[in-house]
Amino acid sequence: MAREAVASYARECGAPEEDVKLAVSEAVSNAVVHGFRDRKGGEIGLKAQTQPGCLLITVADNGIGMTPHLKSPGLGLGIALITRVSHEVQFESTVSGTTVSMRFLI
Amino acid sequence: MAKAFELTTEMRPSGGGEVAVVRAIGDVDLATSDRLAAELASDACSASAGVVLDLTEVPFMDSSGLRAVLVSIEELDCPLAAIVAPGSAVSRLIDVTEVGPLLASYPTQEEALAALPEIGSHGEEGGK
Repeated sequence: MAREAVASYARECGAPEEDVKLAVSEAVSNAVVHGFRDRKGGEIGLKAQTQPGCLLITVADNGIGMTPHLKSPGLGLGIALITRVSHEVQFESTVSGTTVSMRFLI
Repeated sequence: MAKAFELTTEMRPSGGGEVAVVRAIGDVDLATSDRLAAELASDACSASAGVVLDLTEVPFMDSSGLRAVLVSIEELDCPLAAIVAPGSAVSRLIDVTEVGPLLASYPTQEEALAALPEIGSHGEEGGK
């Protein structure tokens, strides 16, 4: 749902829709798999906003922060994929959550 | 609105044996990749002479789906070839992650079936 909503917004803004979908999916999956793996439930917020020349998408969770997870269902590729498909990316991780900020050129 | 995820497996004769043709329909992501992995590990696939995975009706796949496919290639004792539409999101994912050499992919079922005998049981000799 989140992926489709943000893809629609990306399309309207002229950002690369498929790259945005992939990056959002990886960021949300990371939050689910890494942030909340030792607890039931939590919050993941998704925000998209245009800035001059780019679309800024922020995925923030209130999980335990980014820590290694040996049984990750990804390929360990999530962060690498986000980095490859976005123009710029920032990760902020603390014990009270992780925020991934991704910029896409428009 | 994303399609509901569906999987079907059909056995078809090919080259003197039976090949399992697994068709995925819908997005393959964290919510659905386990189902794909389970289908590829099913008795039908394990006992077949080869597996053709049709991803032409998958409008979106992320790294969890890719992992399900690559792990299956490692675990199956028979070769697996994928059908991937050129220019699709799955094709783009394969390109971005540079896993093409590990995952033999072809644009049509006929080409995938024809290529199976040339593919090693762990995915060597990737397609196009």
